[in-house]
Amino acid sequence: MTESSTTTAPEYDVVVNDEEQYSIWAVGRAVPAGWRTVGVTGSREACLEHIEEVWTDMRPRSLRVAMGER
Amino acid sequence: MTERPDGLREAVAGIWCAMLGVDHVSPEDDFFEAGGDSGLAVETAISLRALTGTDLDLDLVYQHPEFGGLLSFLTDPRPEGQERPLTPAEERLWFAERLHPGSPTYHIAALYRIPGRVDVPRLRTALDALVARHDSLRRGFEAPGRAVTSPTATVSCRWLDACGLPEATVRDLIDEHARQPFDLANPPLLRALAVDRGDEDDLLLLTVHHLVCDGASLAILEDDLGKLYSGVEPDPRPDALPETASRLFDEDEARAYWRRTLAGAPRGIALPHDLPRTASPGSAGAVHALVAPDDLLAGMADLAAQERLSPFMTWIVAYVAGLVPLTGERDVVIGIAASSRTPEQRGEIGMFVDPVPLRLALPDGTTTRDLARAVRRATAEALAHRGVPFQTIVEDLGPGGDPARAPLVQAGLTYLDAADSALRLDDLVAHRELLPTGTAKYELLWSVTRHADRTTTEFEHLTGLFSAERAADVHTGLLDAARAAFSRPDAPLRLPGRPPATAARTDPERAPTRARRPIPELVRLRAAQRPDAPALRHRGVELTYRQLDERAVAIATGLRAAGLRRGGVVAVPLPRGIDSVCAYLGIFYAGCAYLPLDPEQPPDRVRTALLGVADAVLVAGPHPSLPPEVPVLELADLLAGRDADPAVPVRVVGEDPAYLISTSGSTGRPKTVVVPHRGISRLVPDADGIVYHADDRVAHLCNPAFDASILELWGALGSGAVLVVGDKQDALSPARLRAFLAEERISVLGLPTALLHTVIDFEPDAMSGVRLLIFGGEKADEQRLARLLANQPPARVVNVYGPTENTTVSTLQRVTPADLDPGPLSIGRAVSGSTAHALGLHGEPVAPGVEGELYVGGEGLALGYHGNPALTAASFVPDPFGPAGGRLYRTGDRVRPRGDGTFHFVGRTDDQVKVRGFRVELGEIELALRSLPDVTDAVVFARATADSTELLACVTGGAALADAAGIADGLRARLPEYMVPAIVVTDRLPLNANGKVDRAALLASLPDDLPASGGDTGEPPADDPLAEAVTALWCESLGTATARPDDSFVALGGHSIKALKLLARVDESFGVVVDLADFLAEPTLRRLVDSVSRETENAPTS
Repeated sequence: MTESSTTTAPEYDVVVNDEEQYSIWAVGRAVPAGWRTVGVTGSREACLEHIEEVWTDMRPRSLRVAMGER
Repeated sequence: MTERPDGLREAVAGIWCAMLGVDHVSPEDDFFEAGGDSGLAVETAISLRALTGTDLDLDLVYQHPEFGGLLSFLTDPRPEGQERPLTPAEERLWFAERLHPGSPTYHIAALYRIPGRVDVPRLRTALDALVARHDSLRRGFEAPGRAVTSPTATVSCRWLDACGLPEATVRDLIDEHARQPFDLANPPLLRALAVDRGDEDDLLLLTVHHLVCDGASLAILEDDLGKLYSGVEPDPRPDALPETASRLFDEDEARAYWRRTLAGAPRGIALPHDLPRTASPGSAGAVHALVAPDDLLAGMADLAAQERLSPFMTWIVAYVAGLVPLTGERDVVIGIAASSRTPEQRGEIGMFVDPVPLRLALPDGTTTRDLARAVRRATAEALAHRGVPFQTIVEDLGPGGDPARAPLVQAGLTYLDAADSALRLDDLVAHRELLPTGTAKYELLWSVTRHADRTTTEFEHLTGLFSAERAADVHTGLLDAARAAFSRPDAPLRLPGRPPATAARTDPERAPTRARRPIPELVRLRAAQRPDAPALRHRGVELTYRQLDERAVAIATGLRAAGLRRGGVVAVPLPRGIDSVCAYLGIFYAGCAYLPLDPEQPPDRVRTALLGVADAVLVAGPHPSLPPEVPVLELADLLAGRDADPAVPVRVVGEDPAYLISTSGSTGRPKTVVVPHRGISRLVPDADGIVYHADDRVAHLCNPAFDASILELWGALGSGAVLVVGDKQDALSPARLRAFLAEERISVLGLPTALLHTVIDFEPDAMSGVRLLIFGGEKADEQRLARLLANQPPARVVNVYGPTENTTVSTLQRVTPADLDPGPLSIGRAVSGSTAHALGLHGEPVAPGVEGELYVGGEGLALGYHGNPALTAASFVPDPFGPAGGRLYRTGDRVRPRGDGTFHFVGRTDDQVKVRGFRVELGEIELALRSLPDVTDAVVFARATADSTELLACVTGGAALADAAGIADGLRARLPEYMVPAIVVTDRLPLNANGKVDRAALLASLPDDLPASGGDTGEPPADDPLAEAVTALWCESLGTATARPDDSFVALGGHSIKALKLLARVDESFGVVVDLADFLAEPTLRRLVDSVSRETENAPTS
């Protein structure tokens, strides 16, 4: 798991929705309904790097379910 | 000649005696000899004005000091025309007439079904007697704003033999007669048409201009006309005693009341219209009529009795209770028509109504009864202060509001009790039917009329804002809400919540998305419905829907045999043709997504687009230079007969990827957008303003690698229409495009903006047979669009805007002539199923008029960038405004929201450059260049130099185009020096494969060093008497001391009436007529000076 660099102030949270789609959201602003933070906070680049690693299946969850997968 | 009743003599004598303190008067008595002074003379004139209802000169008594002379002046109007300035009510209508000359907006057209025969000669005599009796019916109106009453006037009374004509034809003839413009300078502004329909009842149409008549006057007109026709003496004109002191009116106090009452009031009401608001929605209108339900009337009558409300007040309550849930606003200003008729004017025909603004704010918990009391108080107060002309009220509020909308009041209400009025010709009794004139006075006007047997409500609306369906829905909703309110008068009204802040966004619930079938299911359905209808044609080869479906099934079967499964990606590097279309549908039937590629691209680009994205490539024929890593499938092989695969067609849902579009990325790695089926289904076969019909012939001219192609492909095949494939050369030459459109009888055409511009330049009427023209991709040039619309344009022209990431269309705007004047074309509002927000740097909605970045969301949103989670996460961000868990795409486009859900496109977020420290918008320079004479197109670049940024412009134009220096000079007249680029005149602007201007190629073709734009500073000559004189008039009319050339008349608070006056002064001073609409299109001092000097130069020198 990538942690925020100690030299830059945290700016963004990694957030995810029920479709398991990832995005980033500026720290301090109320996270919009239907999204939750995943516990990764850091610079924009650090957050996007994290997402690059964990978001391996970009199909929305509802589509995977419709296709008979979990 | 008019006959005055003796009552007038007595009334004049009464005033005379009261003023001079004498008991009686003889004809030879002299006012001043009898003790009158100047003060009494003026007071007498004022009293006589009140008595006669006319604007008598205040020095009237000086002109006629003897009583006999005064009386004969008052009873026998001078034989020559009597002139007076306009009343405020007349001024308002006169202004509207000048803005839309010849419009029937203010025609009152009353149709009577006479149960018998009209004696036309008698009718003529009666009409002439009517005109002789009423000054207003002999009144005409002349520029720049004078009312002239003629001694005599003859009514045009036509007789029409309509025996045997069908009802519809008769209606058309009547409408035509009713809508024919009046020559306002030539009284009477009244005309009649008697229609003989043989065995059926005669019809009588009376058309009168609102300048000389109003609702109450119509009843007087009917009464007098009936009596004159029937040989009965009409009621004598009332001779009420003049009120003097009580009529004195404290204008300052009244104006203060309006300023106080309207302080902070909303300047525009959010009406629930469904059509995008354009810069100027015009005055075309329509009426939707309903009969008020009995339970509503009963509830209204109860509350009216309890709260001592007049019927009019009760309808105001109904209107506001109905508007509040519809508009979502709890502080509303509506206009009511209030009578300004004085008791002395009781029997007079004339224009005695003025709009009065009524502001009603509804706090939490307001009940219908509370609202009723608020209405009662507001109405009483408003009527007590109604002597202030509406224009003055608006003026006192200062500038504000959307200049494209009527000031302050956009929703009106009128109430007329016509229960007792009828036209009685002998014993034939007829009730009026007021005919719609095809226009609307307000954006929304609710006209309530009480008839003897029923009460009707008419919903008059601008057809530029409301579709007929929406008007019917809103009208019904209005009555329903009013019914609910009156059924429980003591229950709190259902009040909408305020929208958060001034969120410049569209309502996500505005157009609820329907569950739509994915396109492959829809095409199958069409094939089942009309299997033998043509689906596809190319160069004379035609495929029916059955054949198309069969081929697609075969291809899908082949793809599955090759191992492809739902969710697979198949690249299609095929040119437009029958094969490519069958391939796309076959890929859909296999549950896969297609990646269309332009086969003419350099092989390297095809290769990078494919690698890591496509699971297979589908080709037809030789396929050089495809990467060996991806399996290549030959179309002919797939079509070879196979056993049926029961899984075909594979069922997909809205989230299944439908197609992928490879776009160039700034990093060199292509961005491949993955678009799901729901994105297409929300657009075709019908979305706001873009509807495909089964009998359409849809051109397929778009490069399939460009996502605008999906409108053509799936719009046609999803609706059961014919998709007509055109070849590249069909689209790249305007003359050939014209031939293609004509030969193939194309009804739906999509063009990229740049190509549309070229077509308009060369063949502006090439698209006259097209029903629906869709264009987009770049900022459109208003001048060209105006040219298009003036040359047998397509029936519907729609400008679409949107990135691939939100499925081709994010916002759209129907283009009508009204949109092109004034100002830049809007990109419209979010298409159904989509949302659009202009947000600031911190994701906060920007206020209307403020620039923000456009974020789009909803059903059209792409799944993301293929294989690029980081870029997807950065570009598709959480949506704080829409449904939970939604995303928004950051477009990188800068827009300005207009507060009504529409947006103006400003530019790219990365298109802004700084030159010598100044912020410069390249688009603004392009716009300025295009507005120069003979310039047809222009592209502006910013190029970094060693120490700064230089601006370069490539300009194309006609034979008369000036040279580079001349163009730069022309530009200096419009832009600050730092924005004037170096100019290169070229023959044409290269287009790329997608039909957009190829900026890269163009920039590469430019020489490295260009002569600087240099030149003089373009300062206007300091000593220009004409400019000085115009400036003086400008300052005078705005009440300012100084003016600068770029000052905007409107921005400085000059409203339309002031503009009219300014132009009238210009006319008087210079003899130059400047068109009001032209002036308002660009209301700057510079432009006005230019117009005047141009005209004076052109004037004959003799």
